Amino acid sequence: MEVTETLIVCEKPDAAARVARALDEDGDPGRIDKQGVPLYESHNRQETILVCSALGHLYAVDSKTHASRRFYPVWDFEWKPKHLIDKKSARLARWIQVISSLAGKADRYVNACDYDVEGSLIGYTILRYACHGADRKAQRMKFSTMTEKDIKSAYKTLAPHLDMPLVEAGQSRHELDWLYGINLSRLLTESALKQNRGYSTLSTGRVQGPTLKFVVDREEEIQCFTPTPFWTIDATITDIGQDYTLEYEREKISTLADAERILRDCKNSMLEVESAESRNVQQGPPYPFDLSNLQREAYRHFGYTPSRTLAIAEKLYLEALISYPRTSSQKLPPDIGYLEILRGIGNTLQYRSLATKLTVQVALRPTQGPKEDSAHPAVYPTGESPKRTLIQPESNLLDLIIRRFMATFAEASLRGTSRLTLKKEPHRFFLRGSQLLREGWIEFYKPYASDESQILPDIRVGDKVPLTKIQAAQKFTEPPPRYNPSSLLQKMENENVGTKATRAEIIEILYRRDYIKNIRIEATPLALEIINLLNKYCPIIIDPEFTAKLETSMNNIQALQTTRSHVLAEALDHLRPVMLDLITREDEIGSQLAEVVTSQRIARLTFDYPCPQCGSKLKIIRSRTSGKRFIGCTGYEKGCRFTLPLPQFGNLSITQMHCKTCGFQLVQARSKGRRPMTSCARCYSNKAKGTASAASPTSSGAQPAKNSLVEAASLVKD
Amino acid sequence: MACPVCGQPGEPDEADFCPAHTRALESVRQAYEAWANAFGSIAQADFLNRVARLKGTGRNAKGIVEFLQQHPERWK
Repeated sequence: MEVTETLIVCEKPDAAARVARALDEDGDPGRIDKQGVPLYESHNRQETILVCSALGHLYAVDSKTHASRRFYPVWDFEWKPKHLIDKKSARLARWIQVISSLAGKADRYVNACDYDVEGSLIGYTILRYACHGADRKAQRMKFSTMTEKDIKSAYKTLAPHLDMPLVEAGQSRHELDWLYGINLSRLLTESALKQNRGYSTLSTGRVQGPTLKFVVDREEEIQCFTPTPFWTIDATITDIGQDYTLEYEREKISTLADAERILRDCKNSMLEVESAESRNVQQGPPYPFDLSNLQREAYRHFGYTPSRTLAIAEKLYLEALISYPRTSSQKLPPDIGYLEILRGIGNTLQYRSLATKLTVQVALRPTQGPKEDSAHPAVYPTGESPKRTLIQPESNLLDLIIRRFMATFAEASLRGTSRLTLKKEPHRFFLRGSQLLREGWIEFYKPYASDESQILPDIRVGDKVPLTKIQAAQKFTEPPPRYNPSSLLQKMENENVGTKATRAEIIEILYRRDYIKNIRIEATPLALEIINLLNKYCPIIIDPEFTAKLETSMNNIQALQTTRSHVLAEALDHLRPVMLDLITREDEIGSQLAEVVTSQRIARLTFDYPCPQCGSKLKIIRSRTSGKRFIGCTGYEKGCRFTLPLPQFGNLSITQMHCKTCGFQLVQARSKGRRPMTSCARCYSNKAKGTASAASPTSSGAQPAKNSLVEAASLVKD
Repeated sequence: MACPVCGQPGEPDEADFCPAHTRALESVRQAYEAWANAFGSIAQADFLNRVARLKGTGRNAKGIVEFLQQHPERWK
């Protein structure tokens, strides 16, 4: 019997390993390292399956005719191997070479990249360009979890063709983003550079611009805000030694005279219970997680930024512990096998009793949310146990996903709420209580759901109780809250800006470009200037509605309601005149930008906190000899040698927060996919010095100083 | 005309303040009405002193408050 040879393309090496293991007869595929590129060879009776992987995108959009990276505007583009565009992607050349060499021998081709727009496009470009046009005969493998069962089943039911609508939607997204990003970013960067005040990468784009505008609009609102006074009435009654806080009928009293009148009327008086109302309120279980909800909940409970949550979730997915996380679905279809998953979850001791409560139910019916995704169900645990000890963030996120999954099958919780109305004519006060009568889903979702109760005193209608305390507290209105990474992501989603897969990355880019800073997001002067300029000269670029319209158009490509060429032509019709107009104003734009870039560059490296030795300004300095960063004093030339160590990884920014111990300004290090780390260079330095001198009391003066830097850095990393 | 608070150009050119400080001035004026209503009456200088010290007052609003403290005639 002739053995066919099949080439399967996966998105990442970990995924390739898992696919190969699932498809090998013995579950033990051969691993081949070809030029450092991992490949897997699986066998079954009829065929040899070669499983290779990409490393994300191996091909990207680039200019067709202009080699210079500084030229603009550029309108003609083509797909090229990424290593020819970006020096950092040099190793991808080997990847393409190895896949090309395999392609010639294969009889059958399968795209097994993640089943979404990006995955479909990654597989398509590899099959088309590296596998010599194999996209035309390739098949598509679709799965939502990386469990052996799902992979095998997906392989048995391959789609006969690639999902071209998804591919085309992906192509047009990349091409549009490139056209907008390259042209506008080059214009901003180059026009500032022409002012001869140093280089700084300035960027904007189809999604970046509107997202930054959300932050800048909020910043302007906060900066222009003037507080106004109001008063609240704080009143208390006491029953059997227990104090109960009352709510006054109006939450805010807008004039002092009103507040004083309420106090005069009610002070030292008896309140009569006018009415008592109680009712039971059912609260249904939460919806299954879509990606945005998962990111929000992970931020709320663990403080993980959306990009970090996505990175952790992808890791859990590749280890077959959860389903595909880049989903916008809030639905759990029956074919995922509820019972089997719950039994799997029940194999872990901490979930056993909860899972058992569900598995004994006659019918398992999860609550379903309104959002749908044609490609994947909501995020759910696979029920498989981790094969290694998970690190804390991974186990936290997995726990959240498991508990949420179980909660969706539980019954509604029942809360008894009651409200007593107390009067002292003409005023009314309320006393609210609540008691959890039936835990329902809350039992499964603890500690992420609260079961707090507030029991009311035993008083009845007609009873009179003395008001033990009443006072008017003067307060002031507050500016609107700043966005945090989670609420900004929510805003992007609400405004249909970006996609579930890219939003978190866009926020990270804004941090990297120094457009925004801190967890409670502040727009920097540079961001204010860029949005001000774009708003003045090309408002359409930062108009969320325009971007949302393009998003809809791209979704329509997927739904076969429009074509890629039509969407591109329409977008170019908007972009071309904008670019040509901006080019005529290059000088004006450049001079305004260069000024802000220079002052921001100085400001972002300078501490407000003065040098403790000489009072001069402290700055972040990079050593010319070692390339390392440290805090140094600008009074160096006058003889001050004060220095402090700094983390050597990530983008550093000086925050406006101060150390609670020593008052020194805190420094934040941000690295991709990691939680931002905020630390006090001075305290770490002192700690390190203490440790160094304790460990080596006899060492020379120079040695502890060197040790302290090393140890301080290690403390910072921890 | 350059904004007397920050030196940025006014928009339109003949405007007294830059767009950010024009918006802040409007916010300060509206707040003054709310303060006057809340307390029955309040002197402008007293209002400005108190607003300048509040944590919630934005940077641009503070700029306008300081400017008005120095140039009370610009209340208009």
